[in-house]
Amino acid sequence: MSALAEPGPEGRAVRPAPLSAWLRGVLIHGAFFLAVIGTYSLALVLDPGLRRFLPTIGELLQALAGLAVDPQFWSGVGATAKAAGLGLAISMVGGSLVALLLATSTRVYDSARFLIDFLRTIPPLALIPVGLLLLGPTTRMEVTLIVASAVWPVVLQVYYGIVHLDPKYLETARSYRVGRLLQIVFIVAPGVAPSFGTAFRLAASMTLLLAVGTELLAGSDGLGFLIGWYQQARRLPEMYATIIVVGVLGIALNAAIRSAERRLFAWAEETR
Amino acid sequence: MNNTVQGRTGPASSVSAAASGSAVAVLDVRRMGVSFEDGGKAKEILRDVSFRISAKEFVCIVGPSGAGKTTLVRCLAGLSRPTSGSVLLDGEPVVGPPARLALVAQDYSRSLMPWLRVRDNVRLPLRGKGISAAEQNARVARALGAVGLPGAEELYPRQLSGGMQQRVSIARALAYDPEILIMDEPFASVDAQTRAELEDLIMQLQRASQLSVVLITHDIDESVYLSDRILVLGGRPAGILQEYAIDLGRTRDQLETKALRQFAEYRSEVFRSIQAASAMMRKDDRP
Ligand SMILES: Nc1ncnc2c1ncn2[C@@H]1O[C@H](COP(=O)(O)OP(=O)(O)OP(=O)(O)O)[C@@H](O)[C@H]1O
Ligand SMILES: [Mg+2]
Repeated sequence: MSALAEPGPEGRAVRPAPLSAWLRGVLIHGAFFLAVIGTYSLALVLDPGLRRFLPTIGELLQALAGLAVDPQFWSGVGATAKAAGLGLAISMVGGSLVALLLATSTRVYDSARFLIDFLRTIPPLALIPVGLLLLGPTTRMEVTLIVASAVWPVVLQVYYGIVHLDPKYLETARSYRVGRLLQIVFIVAPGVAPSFGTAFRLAASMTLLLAVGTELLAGSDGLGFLIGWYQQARRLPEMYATIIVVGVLGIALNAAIRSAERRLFAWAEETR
Repeated sequence: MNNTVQGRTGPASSVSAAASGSAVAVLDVRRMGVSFEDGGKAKEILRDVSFRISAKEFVCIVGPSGAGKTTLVRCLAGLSRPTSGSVLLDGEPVVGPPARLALVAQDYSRSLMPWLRVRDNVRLPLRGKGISAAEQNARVARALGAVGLPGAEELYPRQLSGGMQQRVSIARALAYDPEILIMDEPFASVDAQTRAELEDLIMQLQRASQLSVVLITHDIDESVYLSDRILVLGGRPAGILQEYAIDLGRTRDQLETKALRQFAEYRSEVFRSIQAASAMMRKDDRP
């Protein structure tokens, strides 16, 4: 018909060449990274006094290599991952259920809103004494504290995802007599999925931070505990190496979830 | 000029037997009224709207913007219930979206699911109705071909222009294979050439089958070209102000039909009628 009169479908799918963009990113980030390392090493050379509490790059690399073969380190990674993973799973499921409940009526939402705002503004670490008092320095305590903080962004994100789903979509389905189950599968679930993805990303970053923080302050098993322990044992290169590992884990997690989101929710590209 | 006459006035308004009289009414709208709550006050949009649509009939509804055309067809499609009066389909009251009826909504961009590819958008109404997957896909391909978007199955709506999205929503209605097709300004965003082709497509489909079509448009030429009958909706609250039977034969041609003297006469009558309706509504709107 008028395929010629309008931009062809292929014309719109074009993306900027990915390889050269990728290469440029690597170069820029690499250069910046090297500059930071160079400045750091230079500072240590110029002022040897700094070496009392800062390791050289060489010591740091050595410590990282040492950690890689240290079973204690790996069991720390395992403990942190377990607590964070468990906390994340509980936050996602629990938060989504609460969101569903809130979305049932504006009355429910209005009455719960104040309580939620109050609970989610409590600084997570302020709950540590309470957790220690009730449960002791256990994984159970750690997971409880994680959920107590990470569940709120999930509740809010998923709630907004549900209430902002355009009712026109459901009406269209209704006008074509699409059944309830099909509506959930083809409209509600995919329509809310991007909010669910955002909630997952926010909660994942939070749970990692909370896990490490709790371990450090409350002494439950994990990378946070190791950081504190290395500090007390004056094994500073190991301490810094562990901190670096935690940071890299956080960045990698965030990047992985982001890229999964981009692939899964390509349809929403323009709106995010 | 008396604008509130219920049809059948003037030379062009005598409704022919073929168009409505003896034929069976598929849709029967009886003294329908619609009011909305607006800040605690009832706002009356439609009052005493009565008309019938017969099998195989092509009816256009025209009228000023804001008259209540969309409100009217939403009641026909079972998406909302009239405040008073009734809508009957094959003699049965419409209480929800009827099977065999498809509505192409005015707001096409919000009627396609952005997360579904074109194929799945067009297919969605066919699911769960005992149609085999092969048949579903065949219908999707046929409908997309018919609206001039062959092979667009794998694209997402955002990859299409507004006019292309509108055609996908038309394709979805066609694939559904309805007996009654209701379209609310379906060609508003497509270019003139495509518009003419889509008009002819719907007309051919309607002529070749049992299809009844109700089409809302602001384009007077389009309404005269396509219709067996034109209803003019207007007033506050709105009612059917005029009804025109269009006797231009069953076979029409974009160039020849539009060049007919009769065509021009119908067009000026409908134009004047809409003009009067608009003037009336503007007068009523004054505080
Ligand atoms: N849900 C609603 N609540 C309150 N008022 C409404 C509602 N829906 C429509 N209206 C009002 O009803 C009137 C008719 O609207 P409608 O959309 O039916 O007009 P229309 O004839 O389709 O106009 P257009 O040609 O611009 O599409 C408008 O004044 C509109 O504000
Ligand atoms: Mg409208």
